[in-house]
Parts: sequence; C-alpha cells; structure tokens
Amino acid sequence: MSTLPKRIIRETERLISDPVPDITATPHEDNLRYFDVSLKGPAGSPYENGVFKLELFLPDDYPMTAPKVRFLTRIYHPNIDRLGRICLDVLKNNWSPALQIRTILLSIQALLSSPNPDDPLANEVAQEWKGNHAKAIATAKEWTEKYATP
Amino acid sequence: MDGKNTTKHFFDHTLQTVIPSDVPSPQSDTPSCRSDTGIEKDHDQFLEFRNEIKSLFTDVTESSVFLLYKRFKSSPNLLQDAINAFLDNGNNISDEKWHREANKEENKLKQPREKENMPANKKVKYEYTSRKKQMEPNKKVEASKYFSGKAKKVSKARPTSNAIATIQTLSPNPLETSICDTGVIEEKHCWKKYIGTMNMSCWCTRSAYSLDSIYGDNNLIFTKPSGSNVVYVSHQAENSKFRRELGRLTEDLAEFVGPLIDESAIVFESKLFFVEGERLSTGDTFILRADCFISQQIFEIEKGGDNLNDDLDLEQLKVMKHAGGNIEAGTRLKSGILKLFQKLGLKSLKEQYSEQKKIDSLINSNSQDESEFQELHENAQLEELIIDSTDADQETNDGSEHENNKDDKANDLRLTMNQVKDLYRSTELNDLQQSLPESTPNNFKIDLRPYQKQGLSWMLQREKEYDLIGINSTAYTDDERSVIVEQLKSLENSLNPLWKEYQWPKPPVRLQNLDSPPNFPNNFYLNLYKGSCSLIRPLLKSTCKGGILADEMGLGKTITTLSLILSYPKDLTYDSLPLDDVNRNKDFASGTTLIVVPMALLTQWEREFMKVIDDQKKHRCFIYYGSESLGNLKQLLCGKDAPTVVLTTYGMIQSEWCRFNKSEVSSRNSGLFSIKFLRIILDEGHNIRNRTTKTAKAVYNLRSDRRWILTGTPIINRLEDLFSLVHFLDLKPWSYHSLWKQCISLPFDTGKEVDVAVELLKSILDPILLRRTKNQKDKDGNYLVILPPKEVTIERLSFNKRERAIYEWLKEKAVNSFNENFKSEMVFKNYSSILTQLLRLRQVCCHIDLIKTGESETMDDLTSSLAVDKQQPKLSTKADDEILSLVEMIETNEKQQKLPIEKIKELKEEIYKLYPTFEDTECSICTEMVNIDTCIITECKHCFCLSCLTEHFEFQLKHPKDNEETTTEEINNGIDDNKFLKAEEVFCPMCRTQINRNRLFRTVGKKRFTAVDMVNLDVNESLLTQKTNLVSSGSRDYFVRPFTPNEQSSKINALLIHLEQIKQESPGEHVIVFSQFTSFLDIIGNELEKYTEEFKVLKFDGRLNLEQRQHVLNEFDKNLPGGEEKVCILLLSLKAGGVGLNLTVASKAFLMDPHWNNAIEFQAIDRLHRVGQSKSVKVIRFIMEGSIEERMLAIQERKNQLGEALTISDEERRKRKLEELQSLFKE
Repeated sequence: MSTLPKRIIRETERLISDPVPDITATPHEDNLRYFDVSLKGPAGSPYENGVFKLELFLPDDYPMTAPKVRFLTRIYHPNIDRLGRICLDVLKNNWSPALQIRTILLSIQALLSSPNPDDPLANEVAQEWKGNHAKAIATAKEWTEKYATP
Repeated sequence: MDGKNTTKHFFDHTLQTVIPSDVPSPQSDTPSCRSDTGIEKDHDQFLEFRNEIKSLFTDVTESSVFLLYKRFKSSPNLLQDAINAFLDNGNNISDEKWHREANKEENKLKQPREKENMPANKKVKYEYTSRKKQMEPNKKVEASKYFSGKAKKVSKARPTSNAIATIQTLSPNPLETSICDTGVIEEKHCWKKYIGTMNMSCWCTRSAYSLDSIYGDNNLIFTKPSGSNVVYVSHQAENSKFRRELGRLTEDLAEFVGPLIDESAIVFESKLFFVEGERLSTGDTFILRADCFISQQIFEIEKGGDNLNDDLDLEQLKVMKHAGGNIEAGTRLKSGILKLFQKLGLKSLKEQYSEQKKIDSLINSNSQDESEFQELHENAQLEELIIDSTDADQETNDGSEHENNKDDKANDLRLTMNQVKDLYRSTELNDLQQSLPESTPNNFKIDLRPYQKQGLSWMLQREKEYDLIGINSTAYTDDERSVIVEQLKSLENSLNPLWKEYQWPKPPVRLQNLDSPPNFPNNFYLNLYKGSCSLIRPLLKSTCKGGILADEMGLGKTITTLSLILSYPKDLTYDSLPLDDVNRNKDFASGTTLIVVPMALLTQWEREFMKVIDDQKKHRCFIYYGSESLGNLKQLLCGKDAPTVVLTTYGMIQSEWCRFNKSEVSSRNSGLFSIKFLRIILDEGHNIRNRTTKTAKAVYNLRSDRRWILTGTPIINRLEDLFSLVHFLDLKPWSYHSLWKQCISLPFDTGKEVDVAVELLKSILDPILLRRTKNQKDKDGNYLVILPPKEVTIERLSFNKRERAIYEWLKEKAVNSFNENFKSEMVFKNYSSILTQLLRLRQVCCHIDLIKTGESETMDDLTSSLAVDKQQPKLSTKADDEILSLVEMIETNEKQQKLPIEKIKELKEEIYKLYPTFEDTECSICTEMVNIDTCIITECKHCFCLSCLTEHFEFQLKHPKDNEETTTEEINNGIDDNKFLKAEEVFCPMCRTQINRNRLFRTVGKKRFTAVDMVNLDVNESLLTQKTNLVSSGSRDYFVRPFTPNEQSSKINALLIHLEQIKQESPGEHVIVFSQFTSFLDIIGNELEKYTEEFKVLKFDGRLNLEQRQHVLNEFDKNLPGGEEKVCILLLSLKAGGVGLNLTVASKAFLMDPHWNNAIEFQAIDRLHRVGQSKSVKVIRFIMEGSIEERMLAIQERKNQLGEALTISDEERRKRKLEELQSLFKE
C-alpha cells in the first residue's frame, strides 16, 4: 500500500485529539485506512441510546473519492439496507474533497435523525415509514434495543 | 646462458663424431710438417693420391689427377678436397679457374679462419635424441620435424652406446683459444661484435662426398651474387684457396641474410651443425649454426655523416621520400637487421623495459584503468562533436571547406579504439611528470595547484628557460634546484626516436675471449629506418621551443599557460642586445605572446588574464579582433610599450592570411604576418587538426620563437590530426609530411609494422606532450583535482491539457507517417520530414509557441546526430498549417472561457476584501494551511492549494459523474477536436458551484517592495491584469492574478517553482538554464523577466556578437550587490555555451530539454563542474512524461552502453538509425 497521505494522518490525529461528540473512529493498527466507528443514536430519534457500529474505509483515491462506510449493526432505517449500506448523497455524487471523515460521520448521524424515505435504499422500510409511520418508529426503536444496545 | 652455451659447444663436437670411420682418414699431418717435405715425398704422395682417386673414379683423366694434385697438395685434406673438386667439375678442371677463384676469395674474405685440430676422440658416437634438447628454441619445430622423419634411419646407422660419458670429457676445448687468437689479431683494424647465434637450415646443392674435411675445418662461408636473392653456403678449408659450394640458405633466411651480406653489415661465422647421414646429396637439408657479429662497417655509415643534425635528418627524409627505387637496399638492410635481431631474440632496452612493466602491471592490474579510459574516450568523442559545431561556427563563410573536412574525415581510416587508448595511456604514463619540480611564477595573483606548477616547469623546460625552473619553490635548495635543472637539460636531447638502444649480448664462453677494444661502449644504437648502427647515443637535437599541453578539460590549461607567459613575458637576451645590434630585427615582437583562440573564448581569456596579473600597467592585453583591429600592429608590438598578450581568433588569422596572400599592403606591413612573435599559443589547438584547411595553413605561417598548443584531445580520429600539430610546432624531422606519413600514418593505415610506429609515435610525443587527467594521482596518491560532488536528477513533468492535446495530435500524425514510410521502406528517403516531425514533437515538449515560429534552427544538430543525408529537412507546410490551426482553435476557445477583464477586477477586489490575510486559511482538500505562493482562488472565492485543486480537476474530469451529460464514451472517442474545446468545469469542493479552469486566480506573495516598484506597477496596472496585480494597500502581503494553467508550458512552470525555491533558500545564487532551442530561451527569458524583483536574467546564445557575449559573461560573473537578493540566471544555448566557457560561479543548472547525445549534456554540465567550482553542483533535467523525450533518454542510455565505436560501417549506422527511429515512433 502506498504511503499514507498527510491528510489522512492529520484527520486521524484530529479525530483522536478533538473527537466528535457521540462518535468514535479508531483506525486499525494494521491498516490505517480502515476505521472502526461507533456512533450513538441521536437524541430524539428512534435510535436514541443505541450504539451503532460501522466500518469506514478510505480508498486510495481519497480524498478525491468518498470513503466507504457501512453499518455493521443492524438498523431499521429507510436509507440503510440490510447489508448496512447507506444511501447518502455526500457518500456518492455529492462527495467533495473538502469533506472529511468527521463530516461524513456527522452526516450519517444526521441521517439517523432525519431519514429520507423519498430516496430509499430499503424499500420495505421506506414504505412502512411512509405508510405506517408509528409502526416504523416502533420497529426502529425495537431494533435499536435489540441490536444496538450494549 | 653459460650452461646453454657449453652444451651447444660440446654438441658441436659430438657432431664431428658423425664422421664415418670407414672413410679413408684424411691426412693427419699438420700443414707445417708437410711444408718441409721433400720432392720425393711429394712424388710418393702424388702416386698414392693417383691410386686413391683412380680407384674411386674410373673415368678420371691423368691430367685431371695431376691438376687436382697440384691444386690440393698443400691441403691437409688433399684427397677429400680433390674428390669434391672432381665431383663438382668433372674433368674440366683448369688451373686458371682455380687461381682466379682463389684470388677472388682472398680479397673478399677477411674473416678469421678457424684452425681446427682434429679431435682426438673421433670414434665417439652420439645419441641423436640428446640433440633435440639442445636445439635453439626457435628452431625446435623445424628441427623436430626434421628429426622425426629421419630418426629411424639415423639411430639404425649409429647405434647409441656410451655417448654421454664421452661427451663430458670434451670440454674445455683447445679450439676456443685458437679461434680467439686469430680473432683478436684481425680485429685490430676492423672490429666486430658478437650479437647472437642462430641456426639456419640450408639446401644442399652440391653433393659432398665426405663431410670429414668440412667437419675438420668447419668454416662455412656465405656468398651472395649481387642482384639475386640466393645466398650460397660454401666451404673453404684453412689455408686452402679453394672454396666449394655446399648449398644455399633456405629462401626465408636468404631474404634477410642476403642484404646483410650485401652491405657487409653482419659477419657470419658459420659451422656445419647437423647433417643427417654421412654425406650430403643434392636436395638434402643441413643445418648450420652461425655466430653473428655486427661489423664495424655498418657503424662506419653513421660516422661519415655529421652527427644527426638537420642535414642528416633531411637526408633521411629524402630516403623516405623515394621509397622504393634506389633506396631499396637501405630498407632491405633495415628489415634484414630487424629480422635478424628478432631471430636472435635481441631486444632493445625499451622493449625489455616495457615487457618488464607489462609483467609488473599484470601482477597488480586494476580494473580502474578501463573506466578511466571509458571516460576519456567519451570526452574525446564529445569534443569531436563540439569541434564540429564550432567548425561550423567559425567557417560559416567558407562552407565548401567545411564540407571538405567532413568528406575527408569520413573517407579516412580511423584509429581503432584500442589504438587511441594505447596512445593516450602512453602519453599519460610518464614518469617524468611525477618528478617535475614545481615552479611558482612571480607576480601571479592566483595560486597555482601543484600539478600546474609542475606544468609550468615543463613548459619552461620546453622553452629552455632553465633558470626559471623551480623558482619561488620552498621545496628545494638552490643546489637541489640546479641538480634538477641539469637533469631536465639532459632529458631535453632525448634519444632520436628513429633509433633504438641495444645492449651488447654477452657472447658465449667459447667466444668470450673475442675482446672488443678497450672502453668499448656497453650499448649500441640501431637506426630503425636505415638499418645503420651507432655507438654514440644519437640525440634528437630539438630546436623546437614549445609543445603540446594536453591536460584534460578543466585542469586549468589557461592558467598554466598564463603563468608561463608571465614567468617569461619578454625575450631577455634579445632585450639586452644594444639597440643597434645586427641581431635586432625590426619585426620581432620580443615581448608579446600571441594567443589564438576560438571566438567564444576570446573574452574569457581576457578575463583570466586580468585576474592573474598584478600590475595592469606592466602587463596589458590587446584584443586583435574585428574591424577596430586594423591599426598598425607592427608599430604597437615592436615598440617600447608592447602589450604582453595579443588575443586573436582563428577566423582573424585565416582572413588576414587571405589578405596577405593577395598582397594587400596593409597586411604585409602591419598585420599578424608581418611580425615575429615571442610566443604563439593556440588554444583548442585541434582547430588546426586538418592540415588542408585554410585556417591551419594560415596558422602555420605565423612566425614566432616559441610555439604552444593547448588542447584537451590531441588525437581525435586520425594520426594525421597529430601531424598538423607537430607541423605547427615545427618539430623536425616530423614536421615533414612525407616522413610522418611514411613512419606513422602508413603503418597505421596499412596495419604493417604498427608496433614500430606506435613505439615511434610515443617517443616523438613523449618530450613534447604533457597530459594530465583528472583521474591521475600525484606522487602522494591524491587525485590531481578533487571536484565537489555533482548531482544530476531527472525530473519528469506531465503535460498540461493543451500541451497533451497538441502533442497527441502531432504524435499520431508522426507515427502514422513513419509506419507508412517504414512499410514502404522509404524511411531514409523521407528522412527529413520524419526529422521535422520529431522536431515538432520535441518542441511541443518545451513550449507550444515553439511550433508556431516554425523554427528550424535545431535541424543542424538533428542532422548531425541522426541524419544520413544532410539535406535540410523541409517544413511540411500542410501539416504545420493544420497544427497551427488546431493550436489557434484551442487558444481562442480558452480565451472565450476566460473572465472578462472587468469581472476580473471586480473579483480581485472581493478577494482582497475577503482575505485580508491568508493566515489560518486552510486548503480544504489537504487540510493544510494554504501557502501564499501556491494558493488558488476560485471564482467562488474559495482557497485551495494549486496541486490539490489540480488533482481535483483531473479526477473529476476523468471520472465524470453519472448524472452529468458527458459519457465516458464521448471521452474515449479518440483524438477529437471537441475534446480540446470542451470547457473544463468541475464543482467547487466547498460550495459545489461550477468552477472553470480558466477562471481561477492565484495569489503571489509580495516581499520587500520598494516604493519605486509599487509606483511602476501602479502605472502599468492595465498591463498587470495579465501579470502581477498590486493594490497599494500596505496591510496585505499578497496580490492576486488570474491563473492560466495552460498558458505556460509545464516546463516553465516547473522551472519557476525551482527558481522560487532557490531564491528562498539561497538568494544571490547563480543559475544556468540550458536549452537547445534559442526561441525557447527567449520565451523563458520573457517569462522570468516578469519577476524583475526576484531574478536577474541574462541570455547567451549564438546570435550575440563578441562584445555582447563578453558583456553577458561579465555580468553573470559579477556578484550581485549585497542588498539585492535576486537569483542571477543565465539562459545558455546548449550549442553556443558548450565549449570552453567557465561558469563555475554557478552551481545549479537546469537542462530544459534532452539532446540526442548525452555527451553534449555532460559537456554543458562540465561548464559548472570543473576546476574552480567550490560548491556541490546540482543539475535538474526536465523530461516530459510519456513523451518523445523519455524515448530520447532511452536512446542516450543505449548509446552510452554501446559506447558507440569509432569505426562503424555506413550500413550499420543506417541500421542503428532505423532502430532508433522505430523506438521513437513506437506506439
């Protein structure tokens, strides 16, 4: 693997020295481009009190391309599928090299607060979210308790 | 030796035992006994003789018997001689005939007769096998062949018995003394000296019935009728006047022995050595052993002549001139003697010495030699190239002559690499050099290096100014100095190279008493071209004052030479003459040295001169060049206050010689040719290497007391090159072309006697040539020159978009047309258009604007390095038009995308407002603080690093988003004009608005501006929208200007970045920028001049006249005033700046474009990296990635590895060119 760009080193340092509230991201010792992320469910959302594990990988092109992020913990969310994949514009076309790991994780946190069922990844969840909102919220809470409670 | 000789000697006697015992024994009485006998006894003897002879030959007549008896009665071997005589002549024996023959022989033969006693031990048998061992080595093959054939027979006939035992009793032999006695007596008048012994094989032509008489009186005589090449071997008994032919020498022997006999050069004392069987029949082979003595006669030849003065040399010359014809004898004698010496294994002292050396060096051989030579060879090649180009510079007004040079060169045989190698090495390995004393000149402002001081001593010695050698040196006392001087004086008159020194070989024991006259010298000398000998050391009286200083480039030939000039600026003996002395010549400039230099070096010499003199009034330098020089030189130089040095160019001399020949009055009375100078120095002396050029001829006609040549490469290709130098030096006799040709050139060209010629050449050069190399070590084992390290790095750059587009377009065209030509085998026919295409590609690598100019100046070096036909490549106008329209299209397109000027101003104001300072501004891509010098500001006023944003642009353009209109298909649509025309727009990483690549701004830091600068800039504000923008707000430390990524060539950008860095790190630095394209240098110059506050830019190329060159170099040499922290940049054309220039003031250089020939680039680098450089040298070579330049690098690499041989056939050359081209056009 090529040498780690300065930017990644600096980001990692900053993530440790000045961590984002409710988010931790620690790089693997053997692969500094691979991060274990844990993210607290935002307050006021069905995911409150849950701690979600994610994996984050910085591709070689980073920061020209977006990092690859995936939920490891199961989550009931219209924009996150069964495999943990996330539908988020900044992770795709709207990625900009000005964005960082920190900002991406904050975006994901924000996504938990405000799901966007109009641009779904998990269609069933999205329909439920739109059709039977309360039930969906309840399921989400249930799942959070079931899967994301430490 | 002794052991060997004794065995030979006893062998000699075993031979005699071959005498068959059944043959009637000859008279054993001594002659003295017989002389006393009375008539009765005589009568008895006659009767006995008659009976004997009649019983042998029934057909013998009475009268014959009587005549035979009468003839041989005094002979000790009466019967045998008579039998042999009868066998030879039958009954036609006449008295007169014998008398005549006998008289003739007596007159002719002065050789001592050996008195031989009959050996007592007649019956001893020999063992033939023992002979084999005793044969001389060089005869072994022949002998063993001989023996193996006959062995059976011999051993049968002579069964071996107690041979060895008896043999041992043989020596010492009384025979020895008797020979020597006679020898001494005879040699009182005419001495001869032993030089060796050899065996010779002969064919028997007359049957010899009995060999007894021969063995008994073993003395054979060589005779040779004049006009034939046959050497007869005859036998003549002691006291007998009758000589009987036995046979002839074999042809190969006769060929060289013949002339020796003709000239009485060598005395052969031969003995029958071996006969197979008991008798000789016609056709048999027999071997004789000859002791060879060199006769006094051959020495006499030399004594007649006056000891090798010029007259004799001229005589020799004449001899050489009429090779063939009447001097046939001379050369035959010479080759005869040489061959004999070779057969005798006689070696000159020098040969012995060099053999010893060879053995020594084999023992401690080092591989370093090879690499050293490799370097040397490269230099040589390189200088040749350079010279070619300077030739072109100098003789542009004389194109035809130049053409001649080339043809001449091509046709001539060139030296092989090994020969050049050998010669160079021989000139380098000179023990003398190590022991040269050091001289320090008076009033010389520069400290000479030790080897330069030695060089000065050598030069003084060559000028015979012995009093000055070793002056100011603390190393020696006065006494020591005088010893050294005496030593040098003795070396001055070196052994004439035509002669070789030999030591007399030690004669074998049996000849040891053959004493030579008392005080006989130990050595003798052989003339290699005449074959004559001398006992007195033949000295080469050199009247030539001067020589060739051939130190390698960069060792400071100039300084050494200047130290010589200042050590002896005036002819003191002449100056001390009273004014009315008859020896005073009105045209002798006794205090002036003329220095002839290539035009480019004129000012450099002047500057060096000014540097070293301490008193400007005492020593002046006058430049004789151009129209202003037409004053009366004679008046100036022969007057009282003559300048010490007159500098002029080869061109001046040539043109003045033309005028002189047209007998223009002014040049006859006042020009260069009207004066005899104290000293002439030719710098880069290889300029006259072709003696047929006008320049060389003109230079020959200059007059002076002393003549010097400075050159880094005395030999380039042919030995004729060297002749021209020797001719200029007037080194007699070598300055005669016919002699040189005969002795040096011809042997090399024909490959005959090359060794002799090499040896000769070395000895000619030894005294007159001094060469030191950088790799040479002084006596303490240190390198002569330790240069600071040199670091050459290749920096690969990538094209910007516009360049890439144009390059690809051109490349496709070029590859297509090459492939077509290649298929139809028209490559060499359409060579010029191919070269043009290559040139275009190379130009695009530098700067797109270069192809706009349609410049073809670089064709010269292209053709010289690649071309087979010299035809100037035509510009393929159609293709050029196409490419130009493409460029134009791209440019207009870019212009359209640009922001209008009002918008630019508006935006700039906004930016200034937004960013009062760039502190704490981070590039969001790399998350580092932006650097004011690399900061890019977008239309939306966001800041990024230049490199980060560039990467973003590249990435986004390469990976179009799915939702954008452009499809990958469209991108990959090949070379499409549309591709170039498409606007480069991506989103801003910060705000995601579209940003156009042609609408960016960049910031430039402003540092220490003076008020004046500000004012100036403000006045030019309208212009500055394209350049630097400045708003007179003191609080800001930067200004903004539009960023145009495609405007500037990638190379210039890279150069700017480096220069900026140099400026930051070491202001005041001197930097050199090389390019082959002067128009590229112009562009770079224009670009750099925008930064007047940072760079001082100078330009040096072939378009400058002398004055301008001088000005530029002076300016560059100057140190910048203390306050200014600029970088001083010299833009140097690779071609114009390649030779001679000394630019050690700079330690950093940039090579903007690669040359076909690596060596040219190294030569350029050596302008900095040479003696006088104190800093480590850093060089960066810019290469465009994935372009023709990379392939040129590969070709350079390959050439270096092949070490392009000097001798290469045209066919091969073509093949290589084709391969090179193919590799260039490879997809």
